[in-house]
Amino acid sequence: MSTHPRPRRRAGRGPQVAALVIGVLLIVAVVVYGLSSTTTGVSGASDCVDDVVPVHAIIGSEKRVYFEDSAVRDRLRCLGFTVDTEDAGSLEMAKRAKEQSGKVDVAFPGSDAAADNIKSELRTADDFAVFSSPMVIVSDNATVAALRADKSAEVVGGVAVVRLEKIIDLVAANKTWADLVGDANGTDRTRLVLRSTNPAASNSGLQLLALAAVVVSGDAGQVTPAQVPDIAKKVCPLFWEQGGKQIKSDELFREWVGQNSRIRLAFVYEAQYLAERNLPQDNARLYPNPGISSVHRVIAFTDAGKRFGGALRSDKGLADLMIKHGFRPMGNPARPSGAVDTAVTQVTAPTFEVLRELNNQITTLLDKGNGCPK
Amino acid sequence: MSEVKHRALTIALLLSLAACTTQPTQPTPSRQPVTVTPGPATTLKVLAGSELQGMTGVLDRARAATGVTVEPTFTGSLDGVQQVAAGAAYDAAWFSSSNYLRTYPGTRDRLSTSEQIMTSPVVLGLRAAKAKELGWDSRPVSWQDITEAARQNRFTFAMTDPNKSNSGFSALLAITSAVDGAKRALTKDAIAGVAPQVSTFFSVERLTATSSEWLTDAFVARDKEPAGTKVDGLVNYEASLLALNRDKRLGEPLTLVYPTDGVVMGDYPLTLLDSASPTARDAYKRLVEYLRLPQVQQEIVAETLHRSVLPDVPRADAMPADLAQIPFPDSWAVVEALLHAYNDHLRRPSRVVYVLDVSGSMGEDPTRIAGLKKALHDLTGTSTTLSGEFCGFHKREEIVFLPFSSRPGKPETFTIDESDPERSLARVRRAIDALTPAGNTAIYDSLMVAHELAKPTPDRFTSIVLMTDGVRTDGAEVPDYLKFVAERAKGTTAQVFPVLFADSADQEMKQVADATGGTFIDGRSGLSEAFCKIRGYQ
Repeated sequence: MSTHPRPRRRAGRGPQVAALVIGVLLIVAVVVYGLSSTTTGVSGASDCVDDVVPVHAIIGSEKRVYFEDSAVRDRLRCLGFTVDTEDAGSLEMAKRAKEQSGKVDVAFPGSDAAADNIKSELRTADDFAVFSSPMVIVSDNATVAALRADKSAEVVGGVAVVRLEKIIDLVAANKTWADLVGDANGTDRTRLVLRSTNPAASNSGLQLLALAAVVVSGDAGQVTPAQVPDIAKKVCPLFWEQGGKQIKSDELFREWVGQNSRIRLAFVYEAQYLAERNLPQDNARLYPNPGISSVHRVIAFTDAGKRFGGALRSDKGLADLMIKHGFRPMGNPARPSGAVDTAVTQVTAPTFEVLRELNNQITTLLDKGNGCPK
Repeated sequence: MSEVKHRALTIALLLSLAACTTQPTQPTPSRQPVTVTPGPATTLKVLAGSELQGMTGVLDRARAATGVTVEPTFTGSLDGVQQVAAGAAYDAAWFSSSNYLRTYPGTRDRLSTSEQIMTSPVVLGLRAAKAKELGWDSRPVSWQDITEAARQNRFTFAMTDPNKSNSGFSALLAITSAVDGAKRALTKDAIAGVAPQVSTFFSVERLTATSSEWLTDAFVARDKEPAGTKVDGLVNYEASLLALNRDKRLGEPLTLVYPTDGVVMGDYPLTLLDSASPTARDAYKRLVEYLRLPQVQQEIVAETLHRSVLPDVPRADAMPADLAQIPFPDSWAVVEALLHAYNDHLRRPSRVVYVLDVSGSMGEDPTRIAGLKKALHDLTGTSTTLSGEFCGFHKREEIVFLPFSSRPGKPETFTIDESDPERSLARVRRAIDALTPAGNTAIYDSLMVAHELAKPTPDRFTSIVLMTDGVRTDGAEVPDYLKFVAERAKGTTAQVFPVLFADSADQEMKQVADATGGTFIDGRSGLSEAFCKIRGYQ
């Protein structure tokens, strides 16, 4: 088959009229900004500070696009910061910060658990909750239809949600896509998997582990260390059957968008989906049931880092740009366009210690090379 | 920002907005920065896969734009893992797959940050006429179909050694997983169950090499051979196969076959090593930033025919989307088990004739004969290094020792028993210990005998290793030998792999390698390593 290239499929989002209106507004804004800059000179608006300090930040890759946005850089410069970022898996940030001891001002991981880990490893207490983003599963319409026919997905309050417990069962039962009664053509004999990043390296994978742990523990309360061996066995197939996993959320998401290979389900941040302008045609988004939301905190190691964290937490201009990039600023009721609040229960993630132990036990199981214990 | 620049930016923004409103279906411009701030001239020492040799143009421009010179040292994937685990002094590693460094227990802590630069799936390229004959140019093809065609001897192919190179390993993994039904990510225990079918596939393998680059060149070199002996296709990266077509290096183009049950994708992560200095870290960051620029990604697609990691950079025309992907096992234990299974049970076994110089000079300097014995002993399983573990003699393999001095000695053949390899290996070790130097050096008389012992057969790879420490002093001379080779029927001459050692006549050794389609290996910095390296061509 293979010799017949398929055209690249792309779909814009939103009506063209709206785009035109926004376009005109932007032109006006740019012209006004251009005019104002002729009077205020090099440093931009007159309310900007004069002293600019460099900030070296280790960030989760899902936030890379935000910090690469020239509007964000301009606003940060106005607030007194030039930011140099490097991205790393949230669970690798403590190691990166130690490697470059004294040269890193902040780490900016994607969950409370990852933040707690960095705070304890680097012995710092200063953190600033900046924004949140619920975890979503990106997919395509045919896959969602197949899952709905299988009763693994349903629509709750107008939002498509997928029962994570069913996905765990389907993966553990070695199902292929063609095994699903609802699969449109029944010819996809590849394995049914939910792709994620490596939970031992990256925060989005860790969020899947946290969520799956709560689901398989069958308990609404906090997961206890005593439950870890049993949970590790039960969630093991979710991670083993995927094979090698990326260590950055951005790489997984880009792989899904890029369509070089077919990824039918991928566990990513809602913000990544909302901010992407080149979504594949027929794309779909599912919210897991139960749900989990990621909270992104700046952990400051230096004074400059503390001021930087404070600015991200409180500046209105930066918050508006967060919304533009699909994030939900903390303490701000505004929502990014397309964000939905589902009616599903949100879980409380297990503690970092529990998640680390789960990761260790899963790694031990995977290292053996014979899949997961029955 | 200067005022002039600011104005320019404003105009550019206006223009791009205008473009958006008139052409709403065009891909939106990328969000990436458009330039990289150049930094101080820095050399980045990078341990790299051989397939990255095609990146030279891109890396030259990267140097101009960023001040970063990439100094590559090319090696195989498995050897790379071993070097990183041993703490070799490189700043970064850049191989076609992240999976070896990620799963090998000894390397995990040595890796710093990593960035995927491009992708390319490992697929089968078949000569167009052969693909048409098999009907593979016009309908979906599965690994089962490919195995069935192999069972009927309907095609032959070339593939790199999975012990040395990721493209070979990827194919081995894909076919093993697919035959296993892709019902689960491949496990150690599943391998034995699918061995009969997988070995059927490898029964039609006719050419192998340690690296994708060398394999491609050897495949091209054989393009002029008659239909009966030339190889029908090769397993390689899509990028390499498409480049062969684009550059018209073959008499007829290759048809690329993407098996429907899945392919393994190369993801080319540029990985900073933990030990990199702050200067190297800074250079790495600039280089990665540059390589991810949309226009650079477009150049990578256009020049090297890899796929971009940026979704808004389009694929080249001939690249299909939505490929089914075979999961790469998240466990080194599976990698190891699959390689052992390949070596001992799945691969087409080899017959190697070792033409060994035991002339007087090998004994006059006792370190020479001792070095030779040690190198051969290492192949009997006494080596403890990672690549040593995989380059020893395999089950089912035939080894012929042909010692020579003033004339060819008596050849001695050993077959490594599949159920009791140790007994066979003990015999090999005794023969090694019995090697005794004396007399002159009749290199070419001995090589001619070796060719009789290494006549190609359908069921084995045959090759000759020539190891000598000096120049010919007896019997036929190099022109006699070249005439002997030229007069043999095409496709009936085994490749010769000479090992350069001590006072060997390097120019003559190169002539021998070239005449037979082999390659020479430098053994002066380590005979064991050289013998191990040659194993990738056998």
